[in-house]
Amino acid sequence: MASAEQSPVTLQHHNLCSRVILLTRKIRSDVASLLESYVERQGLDRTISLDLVDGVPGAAVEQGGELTVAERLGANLQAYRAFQALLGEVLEQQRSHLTPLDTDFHASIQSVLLQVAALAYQLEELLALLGHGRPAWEAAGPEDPGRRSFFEMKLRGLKVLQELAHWTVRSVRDLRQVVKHSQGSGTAHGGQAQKE
Amino acid sequence: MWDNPSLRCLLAIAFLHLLSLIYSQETGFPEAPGNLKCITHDLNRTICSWGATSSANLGLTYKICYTNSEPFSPVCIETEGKRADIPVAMGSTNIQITTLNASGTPLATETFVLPEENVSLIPLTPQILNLSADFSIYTLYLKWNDRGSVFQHELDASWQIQILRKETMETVTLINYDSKLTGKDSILSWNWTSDIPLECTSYCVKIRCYINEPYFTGRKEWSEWSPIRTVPEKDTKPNSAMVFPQDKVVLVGSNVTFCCLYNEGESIKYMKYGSKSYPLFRLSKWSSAIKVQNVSASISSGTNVWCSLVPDGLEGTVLFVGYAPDTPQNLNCETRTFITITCSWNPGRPTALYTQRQTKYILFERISRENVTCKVDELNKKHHCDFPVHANQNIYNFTLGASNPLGQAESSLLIDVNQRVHLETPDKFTVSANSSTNAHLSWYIPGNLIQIRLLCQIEISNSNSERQLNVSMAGAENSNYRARVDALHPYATYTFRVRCSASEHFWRWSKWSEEKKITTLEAPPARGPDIWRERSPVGETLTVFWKPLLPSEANGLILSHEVSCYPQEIMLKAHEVPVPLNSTEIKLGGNDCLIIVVAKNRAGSSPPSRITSVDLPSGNVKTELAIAKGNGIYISWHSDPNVTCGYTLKWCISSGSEPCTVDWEMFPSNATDAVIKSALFQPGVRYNFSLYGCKHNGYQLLQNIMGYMKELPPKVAPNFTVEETSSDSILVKWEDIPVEDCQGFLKGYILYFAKGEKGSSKTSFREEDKTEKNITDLTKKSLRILDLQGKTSYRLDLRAYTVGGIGPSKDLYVVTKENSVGLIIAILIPVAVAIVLGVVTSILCYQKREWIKETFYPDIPNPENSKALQFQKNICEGNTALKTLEMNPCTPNSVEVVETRSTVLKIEDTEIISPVADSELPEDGSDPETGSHVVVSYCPPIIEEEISSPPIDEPVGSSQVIYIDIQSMYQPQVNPEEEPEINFVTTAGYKPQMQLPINAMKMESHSPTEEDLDKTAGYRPQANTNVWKLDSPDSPVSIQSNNENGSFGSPCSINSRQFLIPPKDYEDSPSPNNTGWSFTHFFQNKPND
Repeated sequence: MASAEQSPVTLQHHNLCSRVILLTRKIRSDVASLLESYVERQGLDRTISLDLVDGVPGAAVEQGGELTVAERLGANLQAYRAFQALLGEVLEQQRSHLTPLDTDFHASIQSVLLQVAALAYQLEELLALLGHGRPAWEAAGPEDPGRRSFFEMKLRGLKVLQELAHWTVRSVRDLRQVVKHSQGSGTAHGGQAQKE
Repeated sequence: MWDNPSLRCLLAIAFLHLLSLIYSQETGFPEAPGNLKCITHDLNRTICSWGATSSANLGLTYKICYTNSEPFSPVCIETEGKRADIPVAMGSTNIQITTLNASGTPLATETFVLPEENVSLIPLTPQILNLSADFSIYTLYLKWNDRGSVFQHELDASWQIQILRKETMETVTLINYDSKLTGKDSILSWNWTSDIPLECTSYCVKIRCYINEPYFTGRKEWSEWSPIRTVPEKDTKPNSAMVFPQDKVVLVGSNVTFCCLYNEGESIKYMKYGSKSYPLFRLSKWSSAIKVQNVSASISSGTNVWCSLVPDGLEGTVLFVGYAPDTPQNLNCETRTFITITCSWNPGRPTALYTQRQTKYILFERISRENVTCKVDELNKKHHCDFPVHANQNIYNFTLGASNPLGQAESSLLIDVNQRVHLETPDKFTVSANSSTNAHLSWYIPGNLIQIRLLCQIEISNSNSERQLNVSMAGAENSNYRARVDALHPYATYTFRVRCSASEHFWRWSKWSEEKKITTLEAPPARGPDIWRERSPVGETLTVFWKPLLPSEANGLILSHEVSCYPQEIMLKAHEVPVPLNSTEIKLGGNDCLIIVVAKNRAGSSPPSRITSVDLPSGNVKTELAIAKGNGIYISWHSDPNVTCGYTLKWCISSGSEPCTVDWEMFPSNATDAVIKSALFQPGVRYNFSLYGCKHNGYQLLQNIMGYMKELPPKVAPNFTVEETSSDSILVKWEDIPVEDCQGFLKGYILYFAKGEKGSSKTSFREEDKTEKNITDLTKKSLRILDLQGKTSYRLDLRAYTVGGIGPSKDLYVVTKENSVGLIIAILIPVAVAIVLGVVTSILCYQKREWIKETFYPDIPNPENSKALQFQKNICEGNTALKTLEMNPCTPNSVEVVETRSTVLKIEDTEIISPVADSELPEDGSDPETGSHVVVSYCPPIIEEEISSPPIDEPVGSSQVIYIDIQSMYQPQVNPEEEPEINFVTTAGYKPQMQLPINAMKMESHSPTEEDLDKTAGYRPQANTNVWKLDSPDSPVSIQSNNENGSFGSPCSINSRQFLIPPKDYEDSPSPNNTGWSFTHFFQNKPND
């Protein structure tokens, strides 16, 4: 009965949000297993401190409930765009410097990379569907990886994957709030439509 | 006064003169030179310096005159300082130094003899020209000028180089470096590799020199240390913490030192190599290190080394541990196209290093002095390199160099490119067949092959054959090559493929091309079919048979067979018989003809096969047996000189209900035997063959033959019956086994027979019981079995056998008839024996009748005739029992006997159980009490009554009034000890009725008294009590009692006192030694004996 009251746009929001959430959860699952294999292949320790590794968008930085839906989705979109670039760097570093023969590992990173790209695209769609503009790509490009030591490359890759995992958690939470918000506004909108 | 200059000058001169005088007087003069020291830097000039007592110069100058030897005049020089430069002279030098005042007046003169030994050779202080560092390999490079031009000739020089830690000025190393001075300036260089990264701490370097002039006899000393030079610093104030070495590659097994540089305010928490923490040691104020020994190969991403800092920080590096490249193995260079030479190799042991660190290969050709860098695909493990083929160069001397950060290796190979041709796989391979026997092939091979000839191998295969055809052809440039294959079979499917190599210098075949399959065109059948004919029994029709041609003979698909009949060179009629029929029927109409058969396919007809229809009459044709041989049937026949055109052996194979298939084989006229094989032959099936001889005017049946491909045991047992039986023989008859069940030629029958009942377990005969009869005469159809027992069941078993074995059996059970004579004998003998026994028994009984009578029917005395039993009437009054006696002869009173028995039994039990009784027994066992246990078991109370009345002193013997004669034979007071000695024979028999002591028989006192027990004995049986004792198995047994009371517990006959009903409990007791009914009594207890 509730779906009958929703407008097609709201339904589309809902469906798209569901797909985004599903994809985010899939990414989270894949990143979790990728982290395991990454740590193993790089000879690292999961408990290693990565606080000093910069240039990776952190999921913990948020303003709580002060953000609007657009800001929330925009922050997600920017983060995943950054992760898209960062994962590309990680993949290239692994191919060229660290694990050149481990094609299965590369395929795992590539898979996550593609999913992150798809997630960014879906977030763009969601923003557009909600009537918000797509935020522009941030100009800050990746640093020259050739200047980094191999150890820095490894730490950076680990940080990227860890933060990506954190971001997926945050994204699911954000998207649920968006769904909640859109349902509230959609129902009101539907009610108005009926009145009209 | 002092303002006058002239005065002052005068005074000064005077003073100096005064001083000089004083000095000259003391040591000479104060201005006199002394303490002459001379050194040389270059063995050319000597620098001498001296001192003077007066330290004031005051315008003094020195005149030095020196001379090396007498003939030379001294050379003088003047100098203002206390130092002079004079040439180095051989031997000693005389030096005279004169101190001159300002006016040139000598103040003092000193002469020195300077031997060479007093001159020191001190090289000039070296100067470091350059000090640089290669941090990646922890190496310092030092350069300096040896100043060899100072010396005129070659000299050995030694250099001492000292490396110190800058912060602590602690010597890290001090090494000597020898060089040779060549007379001209040379730049010397030296490098030093640290075992820890140079970044970890700062170093400074200084150097000094020593010249070893062997002919210089003076002192040779080290030069002064050069000024210190410092390695570029990195550790004093690092911008951020760092771990060194950064991303280094080392050999497996190396010892590696890692240092961690940190900033002010930081300290190191720990340093880890991999996952293991190592102990830190301090290098400088801002640097600490760990040392890892014998590192093992790392994973592809390297081994991490990290430094955890306090309060917060993490720095690290990656160490790649691997191996130097192995020598390339199995280097092989060959050309495929004469455009490039491809070298391939096996890299050997993996280096565990990848990407930038992986092994790089360079292929160098020494003749052309060209090299190419090889691209290695580590992912696919492909190691090969292409080198261009040069025109006019056939010999190539390759060196493959392998290098990685840890080392290098190489492998060489010299080849003649013409001898290393490995052609590409033939491409675009086509095959076309435009005739029935040949095919055209074409293929393409890339490459500039003009300078060689090709050898190509064409493989031709079909379902049953395979062959290779080698074709040589001239090479061409990127060309198609063609070949033709002949001698193919018509209408056959072939598979072709081709490969090529260099013809002149074979190296390797190329890979096979792809396969191509073609079928050649059809050709007429190669020969006519094999034919045979059979005339119908009446002779009106003739059936013509032919065999299908083999595919190799048919040359195509046989469509039909044409059968013609030529009676007299004129064709009667031609039949076109389509495939798959292989026979046809021709009506002869009473005329014979020549049959001609041809096979036809699309390409044409086969040559004709001919056969005449004429059957010549045959005489008495014999039937022979063939022999199985291998998988065939061996048939032989006698040669017939009239057979001119061969023999034909015909047979027919039937399968199931279908009419049999005629088959035949033809043999030349000189053949006399053959082994006929057919896939249709089956073991155990009889085949009939007919041998025909081909004569000039027709075929004649010569012989019939039967045979088996393999003989088997008969399938069934022969049916047999028993025709006749008697008491000792059986006549058995059997029938023939049907031919189809024989499965071989019957060789005979085996008849087994043995005793056996029908219904008993139907197992095989027991070997020891059975009888076997082998019947080899096959015409015999019956057999009589003799010597059997009458009225006995026999089991018969008949089997047939062939060469293949014995067939199944069939059982029959027969009972022979009864033998009447034996029966009669069997009846008569027992009857006769019974009669004889009866007669003998009767005779014996008659002879022993007296004894029998006495034993079994003794005369019993009448009590009425006894005085003892003549009771008075008053005695018996009031007593009903006695009244009975008045009326009747004394009869046993069983009540009285029971009471007596129970009393005695009680006593016995007491005696048996009581140990006291045992102890009281006399050793000889002659206790009269013990012996008196025999209590009279039968006691007529009337006797007691009568006996109790006489006076006590009346002799006992007076009561024994009857049978005195018998009593005298009896010994009533038998000592128990003497009892065993009593002869049973003599004591047995009738016993008199002994007297009974009156006091012992009183009913009030049943216990035994001290009186003689013999007196208590009342009526005695007419038998020996000892015999009873022994013979009665149910007698109570007491050890002390000597078993005299053996009659208790059983009713007994009045007359015999023999137990009438012996208790069951004692029936099984051991049989006595002496039985009362034994035959010994029969014969020994004769009264007359």
